[in-house]
Amino acid sequence: MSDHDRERAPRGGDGGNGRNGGTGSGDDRAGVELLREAVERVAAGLPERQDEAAPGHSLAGRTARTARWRALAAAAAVLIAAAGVAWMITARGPAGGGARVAESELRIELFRVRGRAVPASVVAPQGAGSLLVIPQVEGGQAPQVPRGPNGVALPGEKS
Amino acid sequence: MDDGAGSGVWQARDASPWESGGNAGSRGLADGDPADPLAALASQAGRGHAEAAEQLFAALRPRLTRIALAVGAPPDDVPDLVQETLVAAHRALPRFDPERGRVEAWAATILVRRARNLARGHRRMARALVSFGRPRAARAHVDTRVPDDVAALDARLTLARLLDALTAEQREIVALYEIAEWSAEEVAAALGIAPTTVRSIARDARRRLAQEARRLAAHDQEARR
Repeated sequence: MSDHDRERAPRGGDGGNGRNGGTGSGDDRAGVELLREAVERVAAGLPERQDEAAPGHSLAGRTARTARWRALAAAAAVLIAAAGVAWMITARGPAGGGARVAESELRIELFRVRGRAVPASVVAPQGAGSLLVIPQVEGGQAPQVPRGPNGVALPGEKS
Repeated sequence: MDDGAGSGVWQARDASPWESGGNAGSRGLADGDPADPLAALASQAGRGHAEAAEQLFAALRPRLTRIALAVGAPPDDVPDLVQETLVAAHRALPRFDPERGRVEAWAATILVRRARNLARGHRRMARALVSFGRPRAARAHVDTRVPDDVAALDARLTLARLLDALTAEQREIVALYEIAEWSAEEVAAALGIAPTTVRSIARDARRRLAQEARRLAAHDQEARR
């Protein structure tokens, strides 16, 4: 006999179903019985899930479909993240190359760097000075550092 | 009724969810472990047997529904809550270890955790709505829709009144110990507390429920006059 049964075993022995004895007296059991009845009545009034009622829409099938969609969504998320990272890298230019001049001051053009089309060429604003080209532009020029009209490197750049 | 660990746990889909008894179609698959006939189904379902999975979930669904209602999940959310629990259980079936307990206890533990998260979400939403100056909307969010049927509405109100008399912890213990009729050890294992604590909290909860039942009866009598 489990302790659950023991708690319901009649103490004073009316030989009944335990509702009148054990730890819970008859009065105490009345609340539980009312709760049980309410639960049954509410449960009976709940609608069946539509996807369970429809043939061919079993839980197992639904889970498999959910898993497939999740895999697809995860793959799409990875692709989007990879594209985002690639865009960030290429937009900034290759490591060590290019000038970190505020974008608003620059005109960006597409050059081919190592066979990829990237916004690689940054040209210093008009009047600011010399042409800035990032390294390893196909057939391009040697790296240059943006310089002001007086030939001094712009702030934040290596001379 | 057995204590939940006996052979009467398994029942047919359309039989009373708390009555013991077998489903002839399921017996073939469920034969095996007498301590938990569902364990055999769970084992087969975990290996990808679709029919076993369907039978297992058909058996678990009504029991989980009643546990969900008794822990205080809003009735309109219960079908979704049970469905999500079964989907999670289906996904985790290959990892189910019958040595660690019954299938129903395992699934109900998932359900109770999800019900807690649901309640937390509702409370958070209600707080957010109140902070935006919409207390009425916050209440509506918790109450959700009401059924048209007067008897169904009465059942929901009675359930809500009784559960309101209990704390969240008492509701969980009443749901598993009194409504699902698990042993104190099983409830203790599922909720991470001591069996003596389960019995003690259940005793307090019974007392509170009895008081509330008396109040409801007095209210009904007054209404009839």
